[in-house]
Amino acid sequence: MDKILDVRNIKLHYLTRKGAVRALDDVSFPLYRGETLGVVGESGCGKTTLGTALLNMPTPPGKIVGGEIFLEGKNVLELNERQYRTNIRWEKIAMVFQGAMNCLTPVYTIQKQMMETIKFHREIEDDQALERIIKYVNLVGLSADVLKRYPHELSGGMKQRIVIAMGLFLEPDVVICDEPTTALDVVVQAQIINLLKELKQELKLSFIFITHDLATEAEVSDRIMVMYAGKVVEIGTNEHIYGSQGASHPYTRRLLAATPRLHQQVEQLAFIPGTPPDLLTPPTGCRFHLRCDEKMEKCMKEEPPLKEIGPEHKVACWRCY
Amino acid sequence: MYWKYVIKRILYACGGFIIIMFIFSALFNTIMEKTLYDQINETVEMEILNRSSSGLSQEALDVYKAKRYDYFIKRYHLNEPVMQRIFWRAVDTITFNFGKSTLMQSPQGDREVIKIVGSKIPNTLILFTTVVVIDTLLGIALGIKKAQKPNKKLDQSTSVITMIVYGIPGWWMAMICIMFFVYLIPIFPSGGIHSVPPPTGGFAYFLDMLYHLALPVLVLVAIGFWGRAYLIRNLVLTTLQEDFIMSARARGLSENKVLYGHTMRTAAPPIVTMALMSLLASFGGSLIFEGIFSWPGMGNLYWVAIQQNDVPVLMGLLAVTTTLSLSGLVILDLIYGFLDPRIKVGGKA
Amino acid sequence: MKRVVLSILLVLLMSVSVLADGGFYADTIYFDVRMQEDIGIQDAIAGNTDIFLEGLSAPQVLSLSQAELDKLDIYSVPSGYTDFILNPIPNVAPYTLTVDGKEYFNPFAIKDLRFALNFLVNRKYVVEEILGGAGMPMYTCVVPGQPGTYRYELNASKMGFSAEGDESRALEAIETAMNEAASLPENKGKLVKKDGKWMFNNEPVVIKFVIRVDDPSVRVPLGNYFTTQLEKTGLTVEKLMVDRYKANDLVYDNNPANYDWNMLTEAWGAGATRRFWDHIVGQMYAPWRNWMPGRTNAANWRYTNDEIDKLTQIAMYGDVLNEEEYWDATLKAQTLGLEEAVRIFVAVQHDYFLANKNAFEERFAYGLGDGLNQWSLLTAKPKNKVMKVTQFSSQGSLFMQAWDPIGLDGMTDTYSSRIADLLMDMGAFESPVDAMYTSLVAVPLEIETSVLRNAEGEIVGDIEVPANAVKWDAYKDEWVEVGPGTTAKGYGKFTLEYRDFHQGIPMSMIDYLYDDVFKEEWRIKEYEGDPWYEQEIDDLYAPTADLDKGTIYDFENNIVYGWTDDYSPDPNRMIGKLAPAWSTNTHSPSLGVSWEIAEALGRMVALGSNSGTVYSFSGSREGAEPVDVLVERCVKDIKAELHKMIIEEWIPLGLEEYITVEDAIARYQAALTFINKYGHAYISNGGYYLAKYDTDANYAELKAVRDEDYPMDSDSLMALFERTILDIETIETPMLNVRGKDIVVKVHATEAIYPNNVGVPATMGNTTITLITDDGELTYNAELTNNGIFEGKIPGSATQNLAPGSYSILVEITGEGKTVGEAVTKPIVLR
Repeated sequence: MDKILDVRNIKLHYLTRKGAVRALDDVSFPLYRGETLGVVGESGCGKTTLGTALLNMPTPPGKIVGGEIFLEGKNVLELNERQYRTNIRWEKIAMVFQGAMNCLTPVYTIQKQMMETIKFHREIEDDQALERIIKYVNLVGLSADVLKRYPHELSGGMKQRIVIAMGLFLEPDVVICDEPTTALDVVVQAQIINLLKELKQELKLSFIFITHDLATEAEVSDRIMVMYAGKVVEIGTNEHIYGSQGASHPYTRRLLAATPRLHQQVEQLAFIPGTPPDLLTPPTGCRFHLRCDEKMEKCMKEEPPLKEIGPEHKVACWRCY
Repeated sequence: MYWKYVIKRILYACGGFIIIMFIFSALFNTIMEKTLYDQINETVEMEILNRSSSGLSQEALDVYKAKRYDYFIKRYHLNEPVMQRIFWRAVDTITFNFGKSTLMQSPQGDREVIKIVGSKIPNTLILFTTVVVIDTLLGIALGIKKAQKPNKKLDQSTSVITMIVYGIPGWWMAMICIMFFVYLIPIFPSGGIHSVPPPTGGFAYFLDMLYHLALPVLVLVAIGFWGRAYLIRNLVLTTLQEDFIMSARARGLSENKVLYGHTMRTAAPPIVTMALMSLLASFGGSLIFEGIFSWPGMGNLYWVAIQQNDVPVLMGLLAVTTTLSLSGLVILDLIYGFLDPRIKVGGKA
Repeated sequence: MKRVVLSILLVLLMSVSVLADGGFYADTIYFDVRMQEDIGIQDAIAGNTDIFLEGLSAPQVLSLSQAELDKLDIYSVPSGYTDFILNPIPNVAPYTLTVDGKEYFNPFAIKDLRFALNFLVNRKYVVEEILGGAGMPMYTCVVPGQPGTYRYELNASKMGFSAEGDESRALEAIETAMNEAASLPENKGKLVKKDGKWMFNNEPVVIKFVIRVDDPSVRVPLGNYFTTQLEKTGLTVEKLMVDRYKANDLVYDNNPANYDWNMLTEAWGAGATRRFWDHIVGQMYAPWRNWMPGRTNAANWRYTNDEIDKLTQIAMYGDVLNEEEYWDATLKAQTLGLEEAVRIFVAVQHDYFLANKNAFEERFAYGLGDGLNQWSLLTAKPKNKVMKVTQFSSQGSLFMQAWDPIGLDGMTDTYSSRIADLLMDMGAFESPVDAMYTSLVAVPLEIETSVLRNAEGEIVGDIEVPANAVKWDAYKDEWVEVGPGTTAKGYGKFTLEYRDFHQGIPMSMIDYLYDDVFKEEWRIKEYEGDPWYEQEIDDLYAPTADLDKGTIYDFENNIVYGWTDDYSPDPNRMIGKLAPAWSTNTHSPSLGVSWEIAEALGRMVALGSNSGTVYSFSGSREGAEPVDVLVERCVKDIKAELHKMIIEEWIPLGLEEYITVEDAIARYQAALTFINKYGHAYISNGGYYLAKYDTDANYAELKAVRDEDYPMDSDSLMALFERTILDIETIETPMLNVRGKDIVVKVHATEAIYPNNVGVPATMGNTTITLITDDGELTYNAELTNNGIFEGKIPGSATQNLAPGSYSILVEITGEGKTVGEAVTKPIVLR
């Protein structure tokens, strides 16, 4: 399989007055064409930051201070802002936001926003543009008269579909989905997931699926990357993580354990004690060691590198090598 | 549905106007009455005093005094009962039948209140409305610039200036500017709308007026636009933090489009509100600044009318400014739906 | 029977020199407006304007830097004065009154106590600290330094007043008065001084002091200062800080018996430069003039003093046979008023007028009483012949009243009158420097007054009026001879010095005839519905209509003879009363238009105007507009009227025998030409005409009449005003004065030639030093040594037998001819 995206040693720090908050600290992973890479982790582990990093739009005061992003073999971080904007954003890499988020401008109609985007990127006649827009709107299961509406007139599910349509209609190579179903009810959630799966199939897209919901992740992803405190702790196939033998990294295991099962009797929900570390001054050694119940002497002093422990299975844990 | 709302809104405004006019009429005709009587007494006493050296007997003086007193009472319509005065003054004002002023006349010599007020409005417009327009434009330009690089050098330095200017009384700044630019470095004239004598010829006359307009406009804009810029900066900044702005940028749209299209369009409602209300308020002029620049406008007219207890002129003035304010509010109400599609105009809660 | 005849020589000295001509110095005068005083001041300094025509208070001017002051010519005049008015109820022992069942003691009911307050106030302190030096002490109701006040000031100085006052004397006198009152049987035991405070019925004796809070620069500090002084006497002061309307309620429109006030800070404007102050004496001291506590309202307790009433009436109504009687009456009234001390005068304030020094060749004339006025502008010599005058108006427009050249309300505001005053030359005017009647157009050749007392004791005229003197009879519409048997109190013979009206027509005696007719026609309602009648004019002239006893117009010799019952024993004043007038204006002698305009206006008012607008000379007609010769609408109507008059070949009533149709038509035509050229109808005969009046740019432009026949110019006018002003700077007396030893007094005096105000050591003048004692006055001469110092000596023999204590010396300096002198008193202690 060929890699469409190869992220190497990305460091994204938020340069606050108190110091640098190391939101993404040396993150590397590949994305293969046609696959869905799921990214999981707690709040604050750097998932969404990763999305902004890939678009080279870190939220201020963030800055990418190191690393490379190879898109189809070329390091796109070398491009300047203008080039990135015109050539990369939305053309090659697009992002599907949380529909419940305020990601549609409230004062423009749907049609205007979509038209604006498409005309910005393509030399295309109005009626042709409209055709394409309608095509994708229909594709996500909505009728064309939604175009005349304003965002506040649509339900959460409809908005999410629109956002998806907007993300896809330029047919980018990589689509980053940031918690697309989190704020939706279960029924709609299922619909959206199915939709995404269909679209991936039809349009041959590569997804990066960011969520904290493991169950969804399992449904959708081919491979899964687990992040903790700005670092990748485990990356493997669906099988590796959810498989019978269980995940390797203690954090992943605890995450899985924390997810309540439908048919299990639970007296007490398992949770991971403690809180995610302060990324301004991250702990020495393994970032998880303060909350890990399997920690060793070494974990407190040295940071474990991300090492391959099996085919397409990498872990960063002294215990696992 | 919308048209029903329009009509309802306009009717409410008219109702409000009528009530306000009655209240004003009641206030002016009652509260000012005491002052008016005192004023008339004083005037008549002074007249008698002035005539006292002419050797008239005391009886003759008394008779004369009674006659003059009578004359003033009639002139101010004080011989009519209070309720009648309140009622008719209000009704007349509402029908825009402002009548004649008691004491004043327009520069052209007309006594009709409409003409008196009308002769001052152009002066006010030329100065204050121009200032509001320039103010708003500059305020938007600077506000946007500040919001783009918040807390950087431009933003912080201009914020400091804003605080200083805000704390300084406007009239004091105006006087200082005059001292500086009129006397210390004689660039500008010291006041008035035209030079004395003004140059002949249409174009030269116009230029002369611009010359006299320059300093007041510069000073008033310099005092006012910082505050506006600050407000707009905050509005824009808040809007820029919104997710849809990031989303728009993520879609690869140019910064200009994001800024002037998405951001400004979203921030438009409060900005348009501010601009429209300022524009309408500018019709009222400003008493203090008109005095400082010897610019006879509406604010000055108000002051003189109060001092002379000239109720018709006061009612006329207030009718004009109230009408403008209410119209502004009504218009804003009605177009707000267009400005911000999230607001359903006339809709139920 | 007394006759007073003024010699021709003296009269001619006062008239205009016929040799000078050509009009006044400034070719053009611009009037504009500023709405901020500070800006007007700065404009004058910077030279943006030549004169800022507004009286400014001391703080505004004295706060300027020396560099700024150097650029200005400053004209200082008294602007107003302050006094205390006291509530003297019940003005009789035992000095108590009951209000709502409660008994009060009023210290101000004691005359001697009131009088002592004069010494309790340190006027020097008030002038220096509160007025910042911009003022002078004042002891009586006349403004010091003004023409005609000399005798009054002298009179007051004999009471022993001085600038510093005499606190110990005052406290002693007040204590004595209070103790005397306390020892009265009715007050025994009730009025006591406890712990230094006076108590009545165990409550403090309170003085309710009404202080005008809306005058923070003068009356508030004055009130505070005097409160401190009063409290030194042991009285308790309750300050009532109120504004003018509340003050009116408490004091003027209130019954003193309500005992709502004991004392008020009053202030008056200084008014015009005037020579006669009898009506002021009446106003300030005499109850019948309605300005004393309680007024003349029968429902009130009123302060009464029949003697003062009688004396002031004699003076004001000219119930005297000669000048001596007049001065006797008025000075006696003043003395009584001072002794009664219901009003305690404190100080005069100065106002300042500013002109840009560099813009003028020299200083110009100004009114000693009212500051810069039309005489200033007529005598001003701007270097570049163009003069810019800025007025201060908070309204921002030039004219606030209609330019109604006839009616009562026309042009009564200062802005209008300042401009209009330059447009007309009147018959005779009061000189700005000494208020003597000086002729302009009407030159007196003979003035005579003669009166006697008839059987009833009334003053009646003694001069026989010739039977062929005429008056206009409005009922018969013709000139009617007065017939034999009429007498008058005064007679005047005048010749007239003509100039041209602005429309080019020369003045003539006919203008004077017109005025006589106009006044009578409009004053008399010949029948019900007579359109040539206005109530206001009737009301105004009715009381004095009978004073005119007839006139003879001698066309051939250009002489007017007039007889009147309007009487004053002062011959100069009679010039004012007798001088023929041609203007139809009802309230100001310096306003008036050429008769064809007055006639056109009269027709418009009486018969209706071309545009249908209803006009009136005053507000009496329902829905009528006042006429206004500047306003387009009215000017159009005037033009239409003049056209009609031409077509009708109209000759005004009364002039039929004196003017031909051709002359009349030529006149109307000339007026039309003027109106068409300048756009307004104020056609008069003055040295300036109104060339432009622009309401958009807010200014007026006046141009000088340049005609070699115009009989005046700035120099000749200025020559009429030249005076030497002598001023006493300081009086040096020894520190220690022993009775029986000589006392040397040194008087430092300066002289200045009006209108310059910078004094140099005096080189002339007669100075006397008078020691005032209870037994009489002893006067000694002082000799001029060097440097303007006069030295005099009070010999030991004079003081030998006097009791030790404080006395006053009065120093007077006078001069011959046109000199203004001064009198100052100073206290002196004899051991």
